[in-house]
Amino acid sequence: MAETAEPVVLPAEDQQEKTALKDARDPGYLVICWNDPVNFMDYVSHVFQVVFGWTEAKARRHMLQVHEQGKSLLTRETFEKAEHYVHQLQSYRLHATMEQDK
Amino acid sequence: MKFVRVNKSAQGDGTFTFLLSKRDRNFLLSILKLFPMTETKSLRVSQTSAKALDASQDLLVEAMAEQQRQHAKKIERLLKRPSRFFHETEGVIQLVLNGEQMEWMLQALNDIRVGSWTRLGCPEMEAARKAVRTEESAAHYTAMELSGYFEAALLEGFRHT
Repeated sequence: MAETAEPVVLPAEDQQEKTALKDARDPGYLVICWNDPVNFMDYVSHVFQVVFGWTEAKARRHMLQVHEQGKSLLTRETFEKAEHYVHQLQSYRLHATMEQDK
Repeated sequence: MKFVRVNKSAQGDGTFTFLLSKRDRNFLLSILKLFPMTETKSLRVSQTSAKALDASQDLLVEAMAEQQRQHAKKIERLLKRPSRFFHETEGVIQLVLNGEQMEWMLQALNDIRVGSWTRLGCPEMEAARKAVRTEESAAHYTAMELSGYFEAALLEGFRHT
């Protein structure tokens, strides 16, 4: 008969070390929207409001950043969340990508 | 196409009403027939080519293709029975859409706009007209402009919510 293993509780220090290691491996992903000449400014603002639930003012600020500076960093997220947002933005055909935060 | 009003229901959702000429309605139906125009394989999840993003890239292409299939079904239903959306009384045509219909129509129109622009060679807007050299590019230019015209009307509706 196989022995029943005792549950092992890691000391708090080990837990912290584990979390730090995980953070080092997964530093987060940046969701960036890039400028293009085809999408209307009002359209881009509308999409930001729908996808992120932002106020009109915040959405407009980011839209203007895209327009004037060529891109806007929209959010920093975990891999899964960043992927979700990129899908949402691209479903509206905005030029949005996720980039690893180094 | 001109935005007329939004009717809010007690539940918080509502319908958007637009006024159209016969020509507007025919153009809108014709332009929606062009859907989809964007090549989903050309969409990129990231600007870098990290190995970790390979699966994500495949997932994006798959998700966008599925979205196009869903929108295509909705457009097909609209084209089959336009009377569900367009109400004509004494020569006045109204288009009535709920919030969900507004969103998918906006996405579909922008797919056509972006796809047409891509086929024109992704020109700057000021140079887009100069990119028209053939009958085919003229069709893409017209589709890009017309879808933009209808998008602007839908966005005007959203501004009143």
